[in-house]
Amino acid sequence: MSSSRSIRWLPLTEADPVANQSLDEALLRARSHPTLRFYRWNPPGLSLGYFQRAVELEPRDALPDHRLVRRTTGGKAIFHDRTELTFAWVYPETWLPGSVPSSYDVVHAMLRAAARACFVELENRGAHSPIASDVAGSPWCFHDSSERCQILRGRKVIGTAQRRIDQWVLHHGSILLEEARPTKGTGGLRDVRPTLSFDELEAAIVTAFADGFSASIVPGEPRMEERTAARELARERYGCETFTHRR
Amino acid sequence: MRPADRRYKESHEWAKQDGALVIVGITDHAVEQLGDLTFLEFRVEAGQEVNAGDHFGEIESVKTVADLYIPISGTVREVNAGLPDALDALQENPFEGGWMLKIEPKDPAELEAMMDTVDYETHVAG
Repeated sequence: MSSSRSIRWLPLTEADPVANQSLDEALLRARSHPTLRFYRWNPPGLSLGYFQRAVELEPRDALPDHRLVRRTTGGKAIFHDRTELTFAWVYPETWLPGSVPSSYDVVHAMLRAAARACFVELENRGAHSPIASDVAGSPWCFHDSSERCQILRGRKVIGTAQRRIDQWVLHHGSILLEEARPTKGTGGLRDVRPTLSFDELEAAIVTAFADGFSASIVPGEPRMEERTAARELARERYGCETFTHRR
Repeated sequence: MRPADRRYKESHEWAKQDGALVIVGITDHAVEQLGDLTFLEFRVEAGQEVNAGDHFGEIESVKTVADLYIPISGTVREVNAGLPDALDALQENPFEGGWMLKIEPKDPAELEAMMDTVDYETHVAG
């Protein structure tokens, strides 16, 4: 069956934390096409939630080398280590009308389908709380689970958050293939599938989104104006101490 | 039925005439769609001129940050500065304790052009 919906797929790349966050916001503000982008962090990044106080993560001297950045999405801090696959899903609200929590449920169901295709069975945390990876009062996303969290063997392995502007949504997702160094006690998909590669997981997520949204997938790359906007955002926002330490 | 003493925007803000000023907030539908509110920050202050559609703040719920938009052009006369620390008021009663701004309107006709309660109910139901 042919589909009138299409998703632009921006395949896995690797960039520094400022460039990664700048491009995600540029894609959101462009509001041009539903886009699923994958990336890794080089150097590793420590991202603060949009409203999070930077002081919660101080001192950072004991942490592995990283660059600090603030996300435009909500939630708590994440240490984006070399073993994390990150996605940015940019779409118009009309694709998932309903409440904000229900939009998480739909995306999380697609992530479960993708993991299952990689022979990893994720579960919704549900009402069961606390779980093994929870640490009371921790500033880290992966130490704080909610009922919608995706868990593996009782530990949080995916962190997601959103930003909504002008009826478009940026849904960020951090998927741990292995535990990030500073957030001990979490887990990763390789706990179950030690050979799981970034490419295999990415391909499974692309397929799950295509199926879930009944959409065709069109591989692409950021347009010139999106790249230009990203450079501007890097200069004026994500690369600026005033934004990173705004709270 | 939502209060009939005010007007509504498709983007789920309400605006209510109060003497020479217009009180502004977001609707119960917006609050319901967002889920549990965790943070609110205003980006405008008293004395600032604003235009309908301008961004005036951000609100976070369930790890989602959403922009807030000005429903009516004019000059901000008061900001409900205590609201970010009293989000229960917004969660429980967005039409009264959850008000956000008081604006001196530039053109009162802008308020009239917004949806009345019946139209807004239809919009939300659709």
